Amino acid sequence: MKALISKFFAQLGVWGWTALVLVPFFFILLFGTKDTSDIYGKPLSLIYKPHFQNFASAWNVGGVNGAIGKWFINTGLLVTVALVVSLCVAVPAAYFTIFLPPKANRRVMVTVLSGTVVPTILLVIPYFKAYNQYHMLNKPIFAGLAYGVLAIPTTFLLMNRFFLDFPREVLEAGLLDGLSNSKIFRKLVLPLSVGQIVSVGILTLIWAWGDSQIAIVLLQTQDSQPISVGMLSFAADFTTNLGATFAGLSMAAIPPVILYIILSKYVTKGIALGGITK
Amino acid sequence: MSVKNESPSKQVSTSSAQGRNLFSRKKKARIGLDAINIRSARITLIPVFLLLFIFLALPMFNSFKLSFSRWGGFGPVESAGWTNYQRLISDPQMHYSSKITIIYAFTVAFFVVAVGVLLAAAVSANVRGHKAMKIIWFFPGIAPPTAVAIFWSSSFQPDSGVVNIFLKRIGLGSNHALLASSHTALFPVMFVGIWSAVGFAFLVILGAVEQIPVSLREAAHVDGANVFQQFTKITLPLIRPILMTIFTLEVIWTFNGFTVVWAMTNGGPADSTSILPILAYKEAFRYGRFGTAAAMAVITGIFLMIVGAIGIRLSRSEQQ
Repeated sequence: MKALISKFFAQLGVWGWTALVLVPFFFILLFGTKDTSDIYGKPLSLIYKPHFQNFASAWNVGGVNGAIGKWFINTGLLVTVALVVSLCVAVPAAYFTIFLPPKANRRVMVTVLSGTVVPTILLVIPYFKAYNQYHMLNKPIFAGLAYGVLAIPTTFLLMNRFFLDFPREVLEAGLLDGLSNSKIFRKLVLPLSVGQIVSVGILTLIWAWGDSQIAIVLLQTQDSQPISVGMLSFAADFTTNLGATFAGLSMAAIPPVILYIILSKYVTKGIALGGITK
Repeated sequence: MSVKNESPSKQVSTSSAQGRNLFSRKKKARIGLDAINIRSARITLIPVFLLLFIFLALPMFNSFKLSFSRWGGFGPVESAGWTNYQRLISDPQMHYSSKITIIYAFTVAFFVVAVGVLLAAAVSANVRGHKAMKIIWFFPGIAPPTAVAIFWSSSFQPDSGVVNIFLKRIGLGSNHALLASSHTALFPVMFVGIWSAVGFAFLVILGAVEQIPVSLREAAHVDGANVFQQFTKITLPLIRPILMTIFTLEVIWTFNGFTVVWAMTNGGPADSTSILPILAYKEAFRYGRFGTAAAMAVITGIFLMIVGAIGIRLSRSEQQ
C-alpha cells in the first residue's frame, strides 16, 4: 500500500514536471499563430482562426525587411566558425596527446581543464577592447572565433578521454598495413570517432547558438547580431503585437528543439560522457 | 608504448628504417606508433595553447590590469590605482548586487539539484513514460535561453500573461505583476533559472544513478527496504560526490548566467535583479566605466574561483 502511494506521487510528479516543461513551447506555438486580439480575448481557446500573418510581421521585425533571416545567417556563420575552430584545433591535438607519456598527458589535461573555469565576465571587456582595436567588432565570423576557442577545452577533454580508450590494436593494424601515422588518424581513427565528435560538437552548438553574453558585446550593430541577441530587441519592438513576438520566438526556439529530437541520442550521450566539464 | 622519450634524431631514423627492414617490422611499427606521434602531439598542441593563451590567459591579465585604470571605451587608458576597488567597496549597489548574486546562484543551484535528483529517482524507478520524458525534459536546455526568457517574462505580465491567466482560472486573480516590483522580481527570474537548468542536471544525475549496481538495491529490497528507503539509504549516499560536483558547477554557471536575467528584466526594475555580470556589463557598455567594470569582473572571478576550489575539495573528500 505504501509502495503504491509513493508510486502514485512519483507518477504525478513526473507528469507535472513534463507539463511545466512543455507549457512554454505549447504557448509559443499557440500564440504565434493567433491574432493579437484573440490572444487578449480568448487566450486559452484552441478553436481559433490561424493568423499566419504573425510570421510575416516577425520576419520583418523593426521595419527591416528580413531582419530575422539576417540574424539566422549570422547565427549560422558564428556557429559554423565556432565548430570548425574548436573541432579542427582540438580533435587532432586530443588524439596525438594520447601518445605522450601518461604524466605529460595528465599535465596537458589539467592545463586545458583550468580553461573551462574562467568566468566569461572576466573576458568580455578585454575582448571588446582588442576586437575594437583590430577592427573585428560587428563581424559574426570573428565572434565565432572567440566561441570556437572557448569551446576548445571541453572538446579537447572529451575527445582525449575518448581516444585514450581507443583500442591500440586498431592503430597497430594500420601501421602493419603500411599506413603512415597521419593516415592512421585520418583514415582509421576519424571515421570510427564520428559519433563522439557529433556528441561533442552538439554541446558546442547548443552553447554558441544560445549564448548572448559574448555576442552582445562583440556584435553591436543590428545587422551583425545573431538570433540570440537580436531577439532581445524583439520583445521591445512588439510589446503591442504579441502575436508577432510569439511567432518570432517560435522561429528561434522550435528548430533547435526539432534538431535535438532527431539527434537526442548523441546529446544524451555527450552529456553522460562528461558534458559536465562544459 | 614501449619507447617514450626518444631523441628527435632517433625518431626519424627508426621511422625510415621501418620501411626497409621487413623482418623486424612489427617491433619497429610499435616504436613508430609512439615516437612519431609524440612529435605530432607537440605540433598539434601548439595551436591549442596559443589560442587558449590569446583568448583566455591574456584577457584575464588585461582585465586585471584594466581594473586599476580608468577607460571610457576609446582613447587612452589612464592609471587609477586602487580607486575602482575603493569605489566598489563603499558602493551600496555593489553590496546589494553581490548579495543577490549569491542568493540567486545558491538558490537556483539547490533547486536544480533537488529537482534533478527527484526526477532521476522517479525515472530509475521506471515510472510510466520515462523514455519520452528523458527526451522532453531537456527541451528547456536546448531552446535558446533568450527565447524562453522572453516567453516567461511575457507570461508574468498582469492580465495578458499565461501565468496570470492560470492564476485567474484557479481563482487567485490575474493582477500579479511580479516582475514590476523590485521586491518580487527576483523570484520569477529564479524560477526560470531553475526551469531551464534542471534538464542538464537531471541527465548527469541519472547517469550516476544508473551506474549503481542493480544488485545493491535488490539486496536492500530482499532486506525489506521499500522504494523510498532504497533511495535515501542506498542511492543518495552513493551519488553524493556527483551531486556535490553538479551543485558546484550550477552555482558557478548561474553566478555567471547573463542571458536569462538580461532577457527577462535587463537587471531591473531599479537594478533589483542586477546580478554581478549584469552590473558589470551595464557599468562598461551603458555608462562607459570600463575600469570599474573590470574591477567588478575581477571580484566576481576571485569569488567564483574560491567557490570552485571549495566545491572540488568537498567532492574529492566525498569520493574518498
